[in-house]
Amino acid sequence: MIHAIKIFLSGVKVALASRMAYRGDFIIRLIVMLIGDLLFPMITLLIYQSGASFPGWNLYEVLLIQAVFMIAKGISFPFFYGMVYNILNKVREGTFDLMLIKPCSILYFSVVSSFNIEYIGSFFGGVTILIYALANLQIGISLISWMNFLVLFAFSILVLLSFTLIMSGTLFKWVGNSRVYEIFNAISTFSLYPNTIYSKAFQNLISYIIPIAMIAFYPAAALLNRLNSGVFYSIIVCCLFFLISRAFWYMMLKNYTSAGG
Amino acid sequence: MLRTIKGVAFATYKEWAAYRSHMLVSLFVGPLYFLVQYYIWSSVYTGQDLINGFSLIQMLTYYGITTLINYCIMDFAGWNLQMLIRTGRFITFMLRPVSHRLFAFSQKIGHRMLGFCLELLPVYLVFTIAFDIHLIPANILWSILSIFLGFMMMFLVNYCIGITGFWLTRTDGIRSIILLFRNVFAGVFIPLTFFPELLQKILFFLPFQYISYVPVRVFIGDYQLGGMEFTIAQIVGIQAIYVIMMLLLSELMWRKGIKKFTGVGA
Repeated sequence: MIHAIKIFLSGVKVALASRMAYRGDFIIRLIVMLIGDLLFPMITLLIYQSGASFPGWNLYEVLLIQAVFMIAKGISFPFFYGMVYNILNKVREGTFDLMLIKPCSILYFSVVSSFNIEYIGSFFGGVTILIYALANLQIGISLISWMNFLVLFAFSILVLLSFTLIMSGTLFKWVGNSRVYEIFNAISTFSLYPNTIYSKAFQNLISYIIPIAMIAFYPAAALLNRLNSGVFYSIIVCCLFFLISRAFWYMMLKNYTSAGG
Repeated sequence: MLRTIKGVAFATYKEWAAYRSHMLVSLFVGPLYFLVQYYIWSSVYTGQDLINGFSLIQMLTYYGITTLINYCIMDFAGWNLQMLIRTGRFITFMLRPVSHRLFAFSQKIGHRMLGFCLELLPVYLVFTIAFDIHLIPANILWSILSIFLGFMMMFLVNYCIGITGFWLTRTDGIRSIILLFRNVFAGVFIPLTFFPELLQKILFFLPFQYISYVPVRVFIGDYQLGGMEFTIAQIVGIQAIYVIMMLLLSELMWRKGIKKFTGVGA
């Protein structure tokens, strides 16, 4: 365990040192990440300002969902999302071999060597919007609701990790395809809005087959006391989704040929 | 010049055809984004016929056309140029008997020709068949002209961003921030008429709306922004003037920037 923590810390140290070589660019990127994530709250705000709304949801409830998404992203992305870019480049160059000969789990090493501090802006933006939304909602949130939120939030991180494994795993075969990001961005957009705007069939799809709703909707629903019994099935699906994505990653790793592309 | 454009465009077409599966991602991503918009706006329009002058059908048409036009005008000239400058590989272009801007523009033509076949046409069919959205231009000639000017504008804006690489060692950050503003203020995410009126008036004078918003409105057949209304001929004329101004700006930046190039990379 101590060995694993040491590897992680040295990965963070190296990542920070290399990123700080271009400090100006780093600060701009941090701001860009934050502004980019504020895009969806801005669109929501413009929709509500035009007099329209999502039926049954007020502005601050929708902002709360989007804030949870940003926080989940702001926590998970610095720690493991960078592995998609890392694997994309290393497989394309054929230098992933160097990762394979390290004396530790290849998956763990791929994660810890991909630390990217840039995404931390999402976390701070998300927390700010969360506070703003809660202050305007003026609802009392019980301790149970906060605990439910934390549990579901942990599953949100698990879903994001699962997507990262699927995306990076794909790149062992689909060499150099930087468009996997677009696929994830498109899929995850469904988690930014209340589940009830989708058709029943689609709600079932994003809750019980590909648990996208767990990324932000369910944790936010816990704070708003809007959880339904379906969340228990969704939790089970999240665990299965993670196991499948992990197995998929190792299966795809076998396709690595060292040839680049 | 035409021979150069044809030669480079064809070479780029063949080069990218080797990565056609990358482009086919659009077949999944485009309709998926549209599906999100479909659900969002179908829900928002519950009990309302018009929002900011758009009916539900017009709003879905707006997003459908925006998606397709973006396949026409998509561009990576800025990224490419700053990469060449940063790595020092740009030196090879200094020795070629052709301007880099023309070379990059020809590359874009080749790349988008492939995009037309592998992205635009299939996604158009998906929109028509799966979503029952019929995207027919109000006036085909004005639409083609406006999309072509949007194509030029997108290239020139991106190219100017790329030129900043002569001054900045790494332009990833500045490029990302401009690209983000470009997409927001080009009306890619939401029609510009949703913005506050004062901002709409400011946006009229920025180059971004001429990339996507104007071609989309020309496609639909009417134009308005910030309380201003123009005929299609007038707004396409203004778009052409902005393209010429952007061309001059890129030339000016180029002449200043090229003096900074040392050829050693960074």
